Amino acid sequence: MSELDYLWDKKGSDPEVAELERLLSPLAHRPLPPSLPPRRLARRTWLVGGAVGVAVVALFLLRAPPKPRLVAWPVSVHGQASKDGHTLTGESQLPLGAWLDTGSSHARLQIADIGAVELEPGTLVRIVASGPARHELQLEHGALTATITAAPRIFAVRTKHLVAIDLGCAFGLRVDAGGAGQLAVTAGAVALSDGKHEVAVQAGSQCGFDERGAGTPYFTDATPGFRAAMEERSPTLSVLIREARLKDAAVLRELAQKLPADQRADLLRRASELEKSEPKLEPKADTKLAPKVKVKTKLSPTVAPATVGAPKVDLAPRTVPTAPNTAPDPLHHDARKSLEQSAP
Amino acid sequence: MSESVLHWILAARAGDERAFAQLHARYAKMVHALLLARLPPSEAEDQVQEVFLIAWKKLGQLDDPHVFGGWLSTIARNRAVDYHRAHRPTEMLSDQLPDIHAASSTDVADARHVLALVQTLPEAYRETLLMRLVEGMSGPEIAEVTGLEPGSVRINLHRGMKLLREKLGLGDVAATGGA
Repeated sequence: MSELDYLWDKKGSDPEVAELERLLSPLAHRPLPPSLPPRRLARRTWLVGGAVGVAVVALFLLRAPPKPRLVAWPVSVHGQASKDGHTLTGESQLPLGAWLDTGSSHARLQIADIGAVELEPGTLVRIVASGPARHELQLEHGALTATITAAPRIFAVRTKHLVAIDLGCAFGLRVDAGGAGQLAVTAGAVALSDGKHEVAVQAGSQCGFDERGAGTPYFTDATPGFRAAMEERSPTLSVLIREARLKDAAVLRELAQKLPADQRADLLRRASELEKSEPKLEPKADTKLAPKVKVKTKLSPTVAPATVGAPKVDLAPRTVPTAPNTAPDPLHHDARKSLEQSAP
Repeated sequence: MSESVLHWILAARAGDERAFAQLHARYAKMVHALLLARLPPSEAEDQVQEVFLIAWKKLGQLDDPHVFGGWLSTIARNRAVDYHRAHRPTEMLSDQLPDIHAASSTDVADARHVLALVQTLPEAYRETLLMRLVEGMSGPEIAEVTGLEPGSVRINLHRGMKLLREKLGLGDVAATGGA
């Protein structure tokens, strides 16, 4: 029986899916009965609860206020920039909370020990969080390219309308004074979050955003017509339908979900047409490799970072470097190039 | 939706805690998967109870019991959003977030790595894939509790798994092995 049947209804076998099930099963829900609030609390419960509450509040008030650690990231300015209005040149430090205005210069900001950010001229940025579990920049306006080696969701860039959350990657981000902008991912993935919704942008893709939130991600290597249509606030559907390639079918489907029903049908029809032209996958023989060895080898943490940095998903260009974290310059170049192509 | 589930929903809406417990048993895995698609594993488990607590309080506002699965899903997704909003770091150092590096064994590290990859998939794919691979639900079960069309669930599973295989590099291994 084919692997798809096992994935669907557990009939037949698929060693890879079975190994993933075994691996992920410890994360499964642990059944507990629901603890529903009683309709009315007894007087004694209120008294005990009140006493505990008073004790907790007292402890909170009596404890010493936390002292924020002084954090500063190394910054290298190629020209002249300013830090909170003061001139900044050469090698220096950017402390937590201080605004860095690159003026007409380029600058490079080292993000603790997890990567670096190249800042374009005309960029205003500051560090808003730095700790072992989170490093975050606020990008007021301008453009940056980041190369990050940290685990997913450790690094983020906050803009006026949303937050770009690093999922292990290299990316470029451009924001105008109004908070509208463009994200281009060259390796790994980035999540764009407006606090209510999250859109994952994969390597080889880019996504616009504005006060309405994130748009629909699309491939950086899409045809110029397709890209131009996607960059409009309201994409011209006839252009998208005409210019879409097989790999753009998923983009059409994502976009269709955001459209009124009467506009959705044409996009979905075109996506289906494209997908029907996709070659069918042949069922794999189960005996090619021992499943445990096969999956374990690929999932080993010592191997994993390369796959995080350069996922081989549909959205990824085939030319993505296999070790993005060790080759920052080409990635910076790619991200800048993607952003420049989409800049107005 | 089966008659018994419909009965539980109506009874729970009228205040029957035992009926609500039945709903909890039936839908908890779905809720957990939806949360796991957005939150760290350590938080997802805690938030399941919060989601059902909210559902219990708001059940009287559910007009159509047939859409209970979708209604509960929305509560779970909103809960995840609220969680992220409440834990959004400020200018202070934010070192209280869970350490996702902490792994006590190779399997745990592998599981976290796979979960991190799944969390990068499009929403529809990661949700159904986590219900299938983490919670052990079959495709028909997923369709039943979520209220989605079975065909849609099957497509989501298929496409999500294809993306995950590629992210894990399994596609290349298979292609090499099958050549």
